[in-house]
Amino acid sequence: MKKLLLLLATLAVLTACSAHTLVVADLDLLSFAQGTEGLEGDLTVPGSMQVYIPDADDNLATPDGGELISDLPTLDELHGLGIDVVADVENTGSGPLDLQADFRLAPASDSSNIYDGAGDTSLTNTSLHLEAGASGQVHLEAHLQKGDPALDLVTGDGFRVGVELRVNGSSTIHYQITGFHVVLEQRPFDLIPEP
Amino acid sequence: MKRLWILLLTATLGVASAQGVRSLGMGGVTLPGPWAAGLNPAYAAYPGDAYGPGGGFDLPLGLINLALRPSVSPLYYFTDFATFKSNFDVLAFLDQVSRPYEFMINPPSSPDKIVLHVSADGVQITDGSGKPFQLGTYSGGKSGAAGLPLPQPFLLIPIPTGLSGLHVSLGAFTSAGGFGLNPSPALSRDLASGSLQPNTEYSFSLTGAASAGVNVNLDFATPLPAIPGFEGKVYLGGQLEGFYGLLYADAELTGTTTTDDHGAPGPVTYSNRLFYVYPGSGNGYGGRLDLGVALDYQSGTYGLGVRNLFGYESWSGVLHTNDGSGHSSDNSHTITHAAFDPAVYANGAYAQTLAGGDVVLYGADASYAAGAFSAHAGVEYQKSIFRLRGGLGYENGLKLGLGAGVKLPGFSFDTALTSHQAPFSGQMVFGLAASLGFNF
Repeated sequence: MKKLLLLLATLAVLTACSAHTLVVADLDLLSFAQGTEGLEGDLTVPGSMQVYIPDADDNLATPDGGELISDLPTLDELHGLGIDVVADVENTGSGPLDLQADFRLAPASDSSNIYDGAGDTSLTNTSLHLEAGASGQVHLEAHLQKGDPALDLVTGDGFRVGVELRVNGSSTIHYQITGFHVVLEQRPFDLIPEP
Repeated sequence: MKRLWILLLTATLGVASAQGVRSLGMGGVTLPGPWAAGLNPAYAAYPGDAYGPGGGFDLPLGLINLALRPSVSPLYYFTDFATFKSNFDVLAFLDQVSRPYEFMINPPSSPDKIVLHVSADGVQITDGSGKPFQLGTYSGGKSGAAGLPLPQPFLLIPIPTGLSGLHVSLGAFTSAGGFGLNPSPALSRDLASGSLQPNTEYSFSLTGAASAGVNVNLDFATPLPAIPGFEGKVYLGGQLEGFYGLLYADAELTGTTTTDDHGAPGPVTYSNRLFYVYPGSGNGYGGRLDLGVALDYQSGTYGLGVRNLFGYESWSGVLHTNDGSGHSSDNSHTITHAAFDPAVYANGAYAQTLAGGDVVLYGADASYAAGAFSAHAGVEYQKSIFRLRGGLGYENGLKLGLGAGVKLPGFSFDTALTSHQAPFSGQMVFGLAASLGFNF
């Protein structure tokens, strides 16, 4: 009786759902940022430097806990995870620049540094060479499916994300983050208990 | 466990009152005849062979899907969990279980994606192609069987009275309805606008109700004496129907969630309410008054019936509640309903005999009850022993009927291709129905 009531209760939630239905939470993290602080700016690169986005400790140049994502009903039994980060960059100085961007995923408990490889992991990275006066786009995109070990970092308590940007060269750069989406996918049928 | 069996038994009995396959083939039209006496008491005095037999035993073809088709059958949950988990579709199941006499050829399919767009502006929910979610189309309408006109009884046994026009019959009735998902007004409103509001409580309820019992019908129907100068024939009828209820179940399962400052939904809590009656725990009783008139004029027949001109019913049983925080209770409970709650039904048929003896039969009906309107129109072509049928109907959406049959002395076989719009998705679903008739 209890199992059947549990099944009926679950089916009530799943009305309009099927085995192939995915519930997708598309999080627009950029919209939660306060103003343009940290999302757009100019940096003087003295030879090499790293910046960490989003800036959780009011210092772009120091690694931190990134953005904590929690309190979402789709976090249990996650079926997939997607990320999509886009940044426009322009070399406004006189020398060439090399950029490397690394997207990090970490458990909710890794609140101090999600860029040190201790408990956290790299989901995707890209690189870009910019001559003086040139502009380009940094695009980080990744998609994890159920079964990927990195998905184990996402629990009911949440998870953390962030981007490490390494710049080499002597010049100045103008950057603007134009998109920061995290997509969580859940198959509601994964929640149905076995009889 | 007893409560569950009550619910399942009454729901299963409730589907036994489906309309005939001949009617399905004509888009849902109910033709004039004694079989329509429950809708218009005047038809109790109407000849049964005027428009052919009323149909036979409907074959519950939908059970094939409910038992075997992985996308429709919940049985796989118990027998083959992997198959259930990779194939079952709640929408297909709900649609098939509401039409047990139709084998759905293409059960409706739930959306591939339900997308929650979460941003600082709030939460928007779309179906994956950008269209806002429309949960309201799932609404099962009025919850509970109480207050609705009782369905036509089945297993009706006439008792001779020796008086012309007076009929007394004993029978049994079943009723099932109100199945559906009913979002709260706030949830319907905000899903339709595409954005959940912050710090708002939303709820949705899964409802269903069924009842069964025995009834006694006392009806008087008679053709009026010929009216001088008028070629037609008028039939009048009235019916008093009393019932004694044996089984009753009215269930409501409610899920509630509250959004946070950004409009994101929080954990869902569930509460449930089940009012049930079974022999030993309580009973029900009541009655209603119906009136009707029918007119035969030239090659046509036209009828108007009003059921439930006055109705009263009372059910005493047990109310089981669970508030979602682990507190449950079982208490004696009585519900009563007394009201002028008319259900109006009008129908008509016209038979045209062609050269060579073939017959074309036209039929149409319309009804209004408890805020719901439905209408059907269909045609049947009769050639020798063969019958071809077609029609259109409106019952919470358009439906198409196509049918064919064979009528032999003492035996008939009818099939129908039906269609209806699936709830929520609006998908056109086609079905097959069949019946066997024996008329000795």
